[in-house]
Amino acid sequence: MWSYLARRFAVALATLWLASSLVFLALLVIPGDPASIILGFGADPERIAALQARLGLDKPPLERYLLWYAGALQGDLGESIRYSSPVRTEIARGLSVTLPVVVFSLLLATLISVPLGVLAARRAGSWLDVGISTAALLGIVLPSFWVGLMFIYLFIVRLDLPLPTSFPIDGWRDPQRALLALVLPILTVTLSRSALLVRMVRGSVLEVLSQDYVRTARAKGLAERKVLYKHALKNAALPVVTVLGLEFSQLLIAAVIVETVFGLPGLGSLSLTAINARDFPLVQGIVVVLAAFIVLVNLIVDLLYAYLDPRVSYA
Amino acid sequence: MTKRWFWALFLLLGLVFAQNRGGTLTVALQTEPTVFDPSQAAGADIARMVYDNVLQGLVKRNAKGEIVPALAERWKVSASSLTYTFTLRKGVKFHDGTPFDAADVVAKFNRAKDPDTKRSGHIRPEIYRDIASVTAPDASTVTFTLKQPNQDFLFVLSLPESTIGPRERKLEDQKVKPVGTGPFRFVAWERGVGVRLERNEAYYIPNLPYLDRVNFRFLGDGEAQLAALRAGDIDVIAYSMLPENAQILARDARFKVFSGSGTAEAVASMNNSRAPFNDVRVRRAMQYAVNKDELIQSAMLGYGTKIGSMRSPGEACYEDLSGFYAYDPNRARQLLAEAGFNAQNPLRFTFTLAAEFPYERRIGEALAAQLNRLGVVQVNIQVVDFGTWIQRAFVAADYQMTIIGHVEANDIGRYANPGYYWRYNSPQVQQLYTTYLRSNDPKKSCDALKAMQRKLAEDAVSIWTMSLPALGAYRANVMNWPGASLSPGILLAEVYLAR
Amino acid sequence: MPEANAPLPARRGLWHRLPLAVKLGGAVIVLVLLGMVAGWLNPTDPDATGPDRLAPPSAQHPLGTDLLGRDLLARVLAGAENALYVGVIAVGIGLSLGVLLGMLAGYFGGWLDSLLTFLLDSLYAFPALLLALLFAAVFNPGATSSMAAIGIAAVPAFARLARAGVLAVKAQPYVEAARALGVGSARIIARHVLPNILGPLVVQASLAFAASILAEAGLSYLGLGTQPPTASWGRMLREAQSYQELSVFPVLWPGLAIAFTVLGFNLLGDGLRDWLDPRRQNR
Repeated sequence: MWSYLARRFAVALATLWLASSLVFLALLVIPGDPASIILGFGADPERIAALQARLGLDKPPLERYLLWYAGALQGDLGESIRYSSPVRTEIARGLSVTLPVVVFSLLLATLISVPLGVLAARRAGSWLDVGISTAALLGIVLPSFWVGLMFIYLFIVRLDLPLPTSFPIDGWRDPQRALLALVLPILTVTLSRSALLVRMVRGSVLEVLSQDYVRTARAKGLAERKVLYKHALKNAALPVVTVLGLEFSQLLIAAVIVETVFGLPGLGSLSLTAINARDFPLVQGIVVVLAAFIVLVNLIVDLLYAYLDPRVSYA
Repeated sequence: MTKRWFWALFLLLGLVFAQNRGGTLTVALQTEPTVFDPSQAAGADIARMVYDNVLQGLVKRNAKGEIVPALAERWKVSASSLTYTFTLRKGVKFHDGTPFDAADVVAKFNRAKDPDTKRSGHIRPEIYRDIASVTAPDASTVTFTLKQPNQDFLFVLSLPESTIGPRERKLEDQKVKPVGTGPFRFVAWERGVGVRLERNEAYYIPNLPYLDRVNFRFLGDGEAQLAALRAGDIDVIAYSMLPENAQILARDARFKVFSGSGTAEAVASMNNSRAPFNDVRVRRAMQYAVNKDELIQSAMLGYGTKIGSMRSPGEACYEDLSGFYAYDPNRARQLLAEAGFNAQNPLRFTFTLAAEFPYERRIGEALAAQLNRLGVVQVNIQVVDFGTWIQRAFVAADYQMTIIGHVEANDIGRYANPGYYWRYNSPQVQQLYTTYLRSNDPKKSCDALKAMQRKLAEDAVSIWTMSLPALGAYRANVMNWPGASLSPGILLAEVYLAR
Repeated sequence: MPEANAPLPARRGLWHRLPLAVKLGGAVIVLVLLGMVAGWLNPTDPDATGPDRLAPPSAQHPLGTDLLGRDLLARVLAGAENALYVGVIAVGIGLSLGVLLGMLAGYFGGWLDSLLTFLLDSLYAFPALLLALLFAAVFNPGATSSMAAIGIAAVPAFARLARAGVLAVKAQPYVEAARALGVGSARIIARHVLPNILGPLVVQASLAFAASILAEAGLSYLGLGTQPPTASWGRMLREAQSYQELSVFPVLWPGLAIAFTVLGFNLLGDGLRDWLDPRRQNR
């Protein structure tokens, strides 16, 4: 177990280094620089140079890269150029909005899609299956921004529900409004994710049900319900867990679309802003935090695997 | 009987007044500035929030665009126009409690005119170039001595970057939390979300402001703005509202839509120093090929004002040149033929659009379609993000045609700067602008400015597609909203909420 | 991966043996292709603006017009070509790079396999959208740059299929025999490996195609998808949505086009998967 963890840790460090270095390179070749963007219409070469010097951007790239690493190794991700504030604070702010959206949506999506998927698989070919599968397909074919705006139109313009459509200015210091502001975004993400998961669950349950050991269990005269829960569901959970892990890291950024629709200051919007402002400490920080999340989630997925599948062992 | 009515009226007025006080107003803004001190970066949104609300200068521009007293009670100009003497308001305090006096003004303008921007952090020292010295004979008097007369000197003092903060305050602090003398205190910049202002209890005008709190909420997306207004998250969409939202909201009695002419011109710039637009015939052909009425009707649903040069109708010394080039595609084709372009050898060029701006993008797309309609032009649209646009098009003038809104008032002087991204070098225009600036006689000065507008139109320097509308909407209970204002700031001191 | 070496179903009576989903999916794809051809033949310029703005369907404009007075039929048809372009770029990059890397990893094994697997796993979890945002900043926003990012993000999925396929085929006696006879690696891959993994790759390609059209729509919402004046369903939907309360047609057609195409490619992928799955065949 420990050697497994050590190996994972080494791989994680390599991933972090690779991701941050690649992004640093990308930021070097992007046209435009933070100083001229801050100055906007006041930009002329002389003033840009002056501001670059104030921001420490006049140093050669290699020096900036090494300086950033020196800081990052001590846990200091530096200061955002765009926001004149510590990168750590900004990322924490983004996560405080995006994490609840992603976690609750995936949770809800799992709660909805597992029963539906199992039901569809058990009655494969029936009208119920066709109904569930068709609904799932419809959930997949709609772009999420369109769904979000339709939710706004339906729930707020038509039904006049007392829900905010944007995050309150006081943020989590106004917890009630902040929570309410996340309702529609969570619903929007849930819809598309559960559509995907239903299909996934149905597929993997179907696959397990056709395996030999399930047939054997059935032949042994085990109750259908028991077959389903003891064998089928546990095995079918494996691919679902993998997909959930992947969805989680993808959604941390992909939520930017829903964040834009609902005016949420999440991690996705933060990355968009950071890249548009060429705010390299902020972009770097986001990538490192993302990579850390990915490594962590992979670890959790692996551990769940070990729990769910007796054949897998990391001893 | 009359007496009773009088008392009733009196009571009612008292009631109205008492009810005006208090409340929170939330205003949607389109972009989030990087800096909140207008002297340290350009950006119309900085001024919209802080100008005259938080930071004040000696003079200010009111909603009609007139220059009126702010921190200076009155001023005197010498007969030579070389000396300006300002008498300051007494008893004014900054939000941090330090008293405001002449030393703050002297410190401010010494910093502003310092040509070393690395030290001063001031964005445009060149506009203060004419100040020879600024002195304080006593704590409430400031005297500016100019090197030469400058017709725009009071205008320069009314610019957002001429606002004054405490002399001891560090630039780095002022950048993220400006301290001034205005009716509202800057409380916090909630990054990614908005800005919070609170009532300045010690404001020097009694009873003002009416509101307790003002929130500026950053919502870039037009549909998100509309949704937030309908859901009650925001009270006002302050500017750059999508024209379709104006039409949608106009049908709804809960909201009021305002529109009017502002100071922003949507300029389709042509690079005057580069082929093909270094040829005046080609530039003129572009003017004839553009149907501005159609642009306003289609891209902006009728909101917007036709103009023919770099000035909006609300500004002083405006010369109406909107009909200078009537839409005439045949004339355009003829001019292009003279310049060597025809159906076999069409005029090809790249039209660069900056990604972020909804008005300009839409106008640009419609404009390109109009030019393509000639049959002898092939426009290649290229969309770049704003960071790339600033570096390539604006700083390096590496473009052929582009479009952007020029929001600032009285910005025609940029055409007298041959290094500006238009790369237009006309000694005659530079001469006219000098005459305007240096003349002692307002009439002569104004005439020079009008001649300059005409000359720009004759040279077809840029396509001034329209004066962009100051378009927005607010909830019906918002009173005294400045609406289509010619001030750089959204003036909030007298806004109140009806109950 | 037992299905990898299952023989392809018999060719006779192919149409009758095809599942309904494949037929429906195929029909949608044929419609998209027809739309593209119709877009080429259509004399109306999809970018030309006209005086009829936000007009409902009429004889002159069968689907109505948008805010700038452009003909919606011409734009929806032109959008078909763009949708195909978007899918071809994304799937092309994902498929070609993925198959190449996956087969290299599977065929040669050893440290190359470990390294490639590590890199591809990292890429699999790395948010595709962040890649697209970076690409848009480096290479200017547009369909090509954003779809290149989506394509690169799709590489690991293809690579996994290819690698698993190669591993399964490699163990087969006839491949070992071929190798013993001195047949070159390239030849073995081309003759024996590729045909066997074709099925799952086609399924994956079909699903990735649908995903790329949706991704383009999402990126268009952020202003990073297809750029003007090119007509793209995603951009049409995004732009028309702001004035849908004034006229519903400009948002209706591109929305339906996206929905049908994505549905079609998904059905095709699902159907093909069922059809190619040997276990399903036996039942």
